[in-house]
Amino acid sequence: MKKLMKFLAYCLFFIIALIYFAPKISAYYFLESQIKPFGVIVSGEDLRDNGFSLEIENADISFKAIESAKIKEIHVKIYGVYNGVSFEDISLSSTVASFIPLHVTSASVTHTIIDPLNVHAFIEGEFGEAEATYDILANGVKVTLKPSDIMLKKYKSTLRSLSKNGNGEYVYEKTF
Amino acid sequence: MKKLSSSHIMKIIARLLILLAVAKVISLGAWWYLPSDGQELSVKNSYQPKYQRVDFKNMIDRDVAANTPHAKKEETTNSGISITNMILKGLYGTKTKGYVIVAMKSSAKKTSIVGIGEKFKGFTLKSISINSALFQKGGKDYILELAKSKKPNAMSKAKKKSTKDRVNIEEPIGVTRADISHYAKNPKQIWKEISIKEVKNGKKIKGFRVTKIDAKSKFAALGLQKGDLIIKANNVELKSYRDALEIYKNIDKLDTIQIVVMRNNQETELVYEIN
Repeated sequence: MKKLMKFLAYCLFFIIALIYFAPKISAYYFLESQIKPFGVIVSGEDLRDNGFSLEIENADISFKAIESAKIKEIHVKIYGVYNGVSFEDISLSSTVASFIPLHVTSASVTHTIIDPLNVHAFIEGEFGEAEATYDILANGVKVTLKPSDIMLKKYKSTLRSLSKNGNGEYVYEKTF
Repeated sequence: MKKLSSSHIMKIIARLLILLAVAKVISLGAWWYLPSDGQELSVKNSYQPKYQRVDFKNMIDRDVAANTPHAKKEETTNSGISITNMILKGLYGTKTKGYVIVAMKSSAKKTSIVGIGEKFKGFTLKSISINSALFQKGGKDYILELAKSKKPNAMSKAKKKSTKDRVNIEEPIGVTRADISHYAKNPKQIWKEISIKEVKNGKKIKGFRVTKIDAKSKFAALGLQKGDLIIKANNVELKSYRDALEIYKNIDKLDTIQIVVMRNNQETELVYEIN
């Protein structure tokens, strides 16, 4: 038992050392190259390796070469058992102003070992609040939106494309 | 006893150091194979159109000098040469790059090519716009407009005969910045007044078709018609939504918008000056 505990302690130490020394910025560049074929490019960002997390500031996100959003801060934490990416202060491009309010306060995407088959996201902004779940096995996403008053009054056309549930929430589901 | 415990601690420290070294070596290996540069979005810097208004008939017509010169400001200079004695026969380029073809009325056939920043008879060419050139002398600005030929020429006759592969150039239409800011603040208004749908040739977008237009809207007043296929804006071929949106996003910086549409199987150029 003592030997097993010792072995686990050494493993934990090794994993922590590996996380600390991991080339996070290079790994981020690799991830960027992987999402490029889907038309997503993150540019103009400042990167900082903080040892156990990666901080990204002032990122411009473009989709299919159209500048789509500016994000002030992104925090990336990859620990294996808990992985999370949080976004703060997102300004969407004026080109989507017809469909949604432009300011998103925060967004977070998490994946934990407790629920390994799902990736969860929570987004908050002028549009209201949204919770999204990506089912890895089914390769499908479900978004539940609690719209704000602005969204209900000014963006009815966007809400019309979503289905409404009994709690006054709007649901979007898609399987890829 | 002490020796035993210290050797035990040393063993643990040694193992931890080995683990640290292994972790570092693995991370260095990963770093070696991973890319060292990120992706950047290449965005076209300038969407200013290239102005090209060269009237070759005008250039060879001896009688041009007798026609009305199109100088807005008349002022006789110290050297005795007035801007009104000059004729602008052609221009090519953008606002800050390009050249103009000028001549003196007295010798209309003898033309000179003047680049931006260069001098002609003491007048320095400062900029080019859609149908005029801005010269400067003695701290004053002089606008010389493109001379127009009154006589119908061979080119215009050819236009009447041919219905295919010809380019109609409409006269510039004024657009105010107030109109632009109105639509920027009310983007929904745009889609109430006009509907545009992409037209593809295989997988590639070849333009944007105007599928609906409100006859009372500003867009209709600007010359767009239902069925028009917008293929170019400011000399940029519209092959993606990005191309179209970049023009829209940079509209504040533009003096002129030049749109080329396919209408009844012929190209028609619509030119808007933003005032």
